[in-house]
Amino acid sequence: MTENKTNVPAQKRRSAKQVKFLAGGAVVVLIIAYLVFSSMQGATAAYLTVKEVKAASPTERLVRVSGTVIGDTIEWDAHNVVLRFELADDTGRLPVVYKGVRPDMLRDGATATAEGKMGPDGTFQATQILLKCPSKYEEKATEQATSR
Amino acid sequence: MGTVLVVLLTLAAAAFVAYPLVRGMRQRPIPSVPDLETQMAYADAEEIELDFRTGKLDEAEYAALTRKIAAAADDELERRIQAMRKARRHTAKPAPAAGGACPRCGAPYDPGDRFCAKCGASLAQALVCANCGAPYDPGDKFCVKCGKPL
Amino acid sequence: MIAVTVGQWALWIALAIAVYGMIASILGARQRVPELVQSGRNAVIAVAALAVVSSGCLLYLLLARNFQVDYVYQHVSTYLSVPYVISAFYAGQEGSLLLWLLFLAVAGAIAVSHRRDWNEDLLPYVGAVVSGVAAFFLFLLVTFSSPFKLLPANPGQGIGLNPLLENPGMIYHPPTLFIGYAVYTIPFAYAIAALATGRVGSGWVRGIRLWSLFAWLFLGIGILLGAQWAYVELGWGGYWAWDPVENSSLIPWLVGTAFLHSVMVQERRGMFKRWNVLLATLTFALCVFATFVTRSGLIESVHAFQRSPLGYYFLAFLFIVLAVTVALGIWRRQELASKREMESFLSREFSLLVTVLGMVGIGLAVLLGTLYPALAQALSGRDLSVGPAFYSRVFTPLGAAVILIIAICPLLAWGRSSPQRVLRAMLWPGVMAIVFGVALALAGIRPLYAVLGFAACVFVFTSVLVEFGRGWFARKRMTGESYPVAFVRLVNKNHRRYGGYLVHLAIVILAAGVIGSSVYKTSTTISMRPGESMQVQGYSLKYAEYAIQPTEAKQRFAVTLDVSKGNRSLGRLTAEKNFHWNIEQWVTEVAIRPGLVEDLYVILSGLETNGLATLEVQTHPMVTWLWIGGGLLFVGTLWAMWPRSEKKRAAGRAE
Repeated sequence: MTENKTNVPAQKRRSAKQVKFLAGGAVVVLIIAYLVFSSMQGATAAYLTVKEVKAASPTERLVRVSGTVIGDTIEWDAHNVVLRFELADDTGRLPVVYKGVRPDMLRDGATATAEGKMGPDGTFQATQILLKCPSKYEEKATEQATSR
Repeated sequence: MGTVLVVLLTLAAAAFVAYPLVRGMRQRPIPSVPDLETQMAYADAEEIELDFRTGKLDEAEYAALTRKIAAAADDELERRIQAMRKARRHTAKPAPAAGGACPRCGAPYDPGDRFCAKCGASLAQALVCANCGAPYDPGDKFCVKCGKPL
Repeated sequence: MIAVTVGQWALWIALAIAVYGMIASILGARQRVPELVQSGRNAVIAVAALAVVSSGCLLYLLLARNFQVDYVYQHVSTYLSVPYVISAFYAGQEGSLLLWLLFLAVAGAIAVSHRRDWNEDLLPYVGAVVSGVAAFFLFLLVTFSSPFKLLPANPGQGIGLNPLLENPGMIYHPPTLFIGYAVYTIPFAYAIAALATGRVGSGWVRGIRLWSLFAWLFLGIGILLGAQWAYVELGWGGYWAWDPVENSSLIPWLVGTAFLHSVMVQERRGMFKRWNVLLATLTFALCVFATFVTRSGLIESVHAFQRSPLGYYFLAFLFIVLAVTVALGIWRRQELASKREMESFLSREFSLLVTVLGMVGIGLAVLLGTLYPALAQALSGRDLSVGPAFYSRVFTPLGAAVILIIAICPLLAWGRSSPQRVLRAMLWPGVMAIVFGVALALAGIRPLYAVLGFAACVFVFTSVLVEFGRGWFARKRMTGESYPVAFVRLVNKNHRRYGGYLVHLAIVILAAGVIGSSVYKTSTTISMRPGESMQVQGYSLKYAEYAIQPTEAKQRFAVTLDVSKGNRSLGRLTAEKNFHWNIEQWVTEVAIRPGLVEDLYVILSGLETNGLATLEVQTHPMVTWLWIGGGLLFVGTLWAMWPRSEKKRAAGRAE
């Protein structure tokens, strides 16, 4: 095939000329890399345990905390669209307040991740609440499968 | 019942897979496509032709690229490319005296015809440049092909 | 129970044949034994047939609602309707893997049966790779993740599908994505075959064009279907929430887009060979990664269904895929060198290089964001994650750059183009964009970056239209055909080019939809009593009626509103919030009134027994544009894939 036709001097001349385009490509790559890493600053949220969240003083930094929803503590004020509940993990319980529509999957025993800031009154002001997809039965199934 | 089915399934699959080993190969002809390098070069030429016509390439760039293709192409390919270019120019210039294509519907007509056999358009009224024979639209002042006033 | 036995055994037999097929194909190709090669080809077909048998068995068990089968018990119940029973096939991990295998095996069987002279040497290796990948999935299916596992006794009733998943999205979205994922195996298999044989010229990239377009199309449409589903489903954060599972399907699509473009450069110019091999592998690896993310629970995600040991096998498999490609690539580095050189910055080649870098860059940025929690955990032991802020900061400038490249790239000629000509070609799009941008700004549309974004969209849109127009008029001049004839013939003569342009238009429409919907979303909370009326965001809402009633499956809470805007009635909307007995969970049914300008989106957040309702009324501007863009994307890609008939091609040659 024609691919074998290239001779050595031509190849050398080529690489000298191609440096320009390699540099052009490199500039593009650097711009993208810069964008990515500069965007990283301040856009990260730390996962903390309930204890750590409670210990932290109220700051502007977003944090995330995961735990199990305690069913008895769910207070849903539909009129003002304010949701209150408590999250628990191995280290303690944390009252959470969220202004927004009550997520469907929020119920006793659900695993929830709240993102937000600690308020001055000791409640966690969540800006976002993520709940695991319907997983209760799947998890049970996995346990069964692995223990068998 | 289930076991029988499984055994049958296993045997069928094994037989199907082992069949070529046992029976040897029946050579089936493989459908052929034109050489890819050639296809690529031809497509290149077509692309350049269209780029030139749509004004993405100017005269000098077009000439340079055309030379490059000509240098790399073998005779057969060169002949095809020439034919493609000629065909494009040919359809652009229906020569009225020797018959040609109806300017309205594109149907061919014979020398001496005065109306198109397909669509009935008057062939005498076909608007073509007096200088180069390219067709032009009513209202045009200059020929788009050769630049001469109409 | 016959179906259980047969289904399970079909998988075991398929595993044995897949392993055999891989070895036979490679041996046959290396030792040049055509019988062995043919046997390997038959093995791929046999695996496909067995996958069909096994899938048929599972489908039968689901439809027969045989609850003694664990998988059926988990995902089906007696009161689940048939379409959702079928969709339960891929509701869990085991079935999803089986579906992956099914699509992969069928695609592989078609690929190895498609013999042409250009791929005769490549096909044995294609078969080997397909067999290898199939063997991996079969291994998982017979060991850790069998859909045919039995329970000790028949429970008589199944758990069923979560009502949250009972949405038409559940029927269309997962299989569409899975087809995309699985079919990307074929380009990857060809890349490996090209490396293994050393025939890395334009043959293989040209040969796989339809495969990669097909996979790309299904992946793209699958993503959009998922977005549509998430949009109508409350609590999944709108159509896109930068959730790891969503991201992981987007990444292969982005890299696949880069692949589609870099392939063009190799076809036309014999360059970018390394890129193509790399991108084909990367796209496939990212498809596997996406499956892995969905199924492993490695990364915190609202979709992460479960944690299982499967993750480690997926990681090992990914490692093998990448290692094999890199090793073969180093071995074939001489053949992979470019045949031609790049000539100018102002050329199609260079702008395509920028496109490729941009798409891969965005893809890797999304990947980094997705993996960040796992990376931070592994490297520093800290639990960190990146939020949507990261993605919007990266996506906005890079997205804008990619959009502008869409406008510029098609204007450039291969080789080199003169700056004057490019500038002249950009004149009309530029004028249109400025006029449009100024008009928007004068009309009081803010913020400025959104106006700039819309102007950029107009710029691209016009430039694509101008491209259509220039080709059209040039053809009309060249051939003297009438305008309609010239247009149809032009578009028909070059499916790839004009299909591609349609896809570009689709992307611009999508981009405009994304800008509009993310910048101008509004949300208002209101409380109403029956009979009351309210004005929200220019809509007047009249509380028509409410219903609180128990049914067999749920306690239903529903509020019906009469919606009008100005004097025009927009019909009735019913927002519901129901408590489902079987899963003891609330399920909110959002009411949506779609429109070209904006969607009215009503959520029932509370309903008291006296009828006092609390509603969240949202407007989502230009979301419909996403679905329109998606439709055009489909049409454009299909057009680009549509083969020109042999007769026409012959006529084109004679022309």
